Amino acid sequence: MTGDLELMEHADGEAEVELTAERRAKVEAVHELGELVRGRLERAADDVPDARFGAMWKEIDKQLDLAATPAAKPVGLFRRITRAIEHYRSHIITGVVSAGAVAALALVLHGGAAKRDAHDPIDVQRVSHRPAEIEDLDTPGGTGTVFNLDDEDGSTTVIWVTPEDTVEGI
Amino acid sequence: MNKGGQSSSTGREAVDDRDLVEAARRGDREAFRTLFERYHRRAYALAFGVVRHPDDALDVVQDAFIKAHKYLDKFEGNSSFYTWLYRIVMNLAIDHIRKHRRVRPVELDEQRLEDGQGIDEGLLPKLLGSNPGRALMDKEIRGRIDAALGELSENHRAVLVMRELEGLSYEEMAQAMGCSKGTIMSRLFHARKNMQRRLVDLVDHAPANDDAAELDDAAASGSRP
Repeated sequence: MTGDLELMEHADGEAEVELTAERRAKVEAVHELGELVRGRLERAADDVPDARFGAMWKEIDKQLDLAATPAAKPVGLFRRITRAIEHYRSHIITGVVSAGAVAALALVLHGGAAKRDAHDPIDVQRVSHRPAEIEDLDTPGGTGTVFNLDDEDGSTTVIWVTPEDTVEGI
Repeated sequence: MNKGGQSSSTGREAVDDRDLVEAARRGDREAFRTLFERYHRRAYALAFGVVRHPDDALDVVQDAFIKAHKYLDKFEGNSSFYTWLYRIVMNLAIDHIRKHRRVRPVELDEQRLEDGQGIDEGLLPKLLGSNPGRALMDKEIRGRIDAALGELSENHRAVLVMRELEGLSYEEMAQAMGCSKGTIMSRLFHARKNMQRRLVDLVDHAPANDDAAELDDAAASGSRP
């Protein structure tokens, strides 16, 4: 078999075949086509100004510098929680102080009532052992919580108001 | 084409590629720059042959050198640095055109293999007279060569460019493209035939018959006929 395939292999140096004048022309055509393609691509490369490749190197250099820079250490869960708490710390403190103040006020009021009850029982007319029933609690900008405490001194109602931003913060 | 691209300003023209690779591995950026200066135009010609757009080819070359630097430790030195580099360039170039193409060109040879058909014409005996170099001076002919290359499928074009620009053997191309030697031969044969057919009015002699059916059988079996 001496077909065009073998002629192509011969032209590419992959095989050896005997060449007639017609076969030689085909082999030459393969070489010519190769020269055309090679010449065209090399010329295209020569047509690119040096400045383009200079700019390319600068970009490569920059990219390699970036790649060489150690990546930021991944932030762990504990650290993220700590950061969140730090971020909202002021809100939490405000909320705790507010809630504490309200609770303290309620206890002071209850203490005064108990004292008055002990030394001037005439002033107090107990109509029920149950604390007054709260029908409505309006706490704008916060959340209200009502506790009923029963002990030997009687019943005490504590109203706990929590500012709204404390809830949002957490 | 100046194979080495622009001349190096580092005075390392005579240094062996392997020494430069070793130095670059140790962090010597100038050594890597010397490798870049040696091969950027060759790499560009290869990329341009496949992607056929100057800006795209520049992008491919840039990415190829960045990737080469990143994986320098994986370069085992069994082949030359450029052989290793052109594989990176070729892979990136083929990836590029696959990502950006809108219509997949039909590979005539493989389609016909599936259909059990052969081809009806072979290599042309003569192309562009006897002076291809002079023909390249003609801008119109350069445009026609570009157009003819553009009509090939990416696989055909890649094989043709690797063969004609880098002179790779069939076996080397088969390894580079991850296919059989028979498939490489089939692609190369049909690429050449199609190129010749598209430049047929520049041909001196009439086409001759070929044994393409045998070639297709060989490609199908993945072996040499």
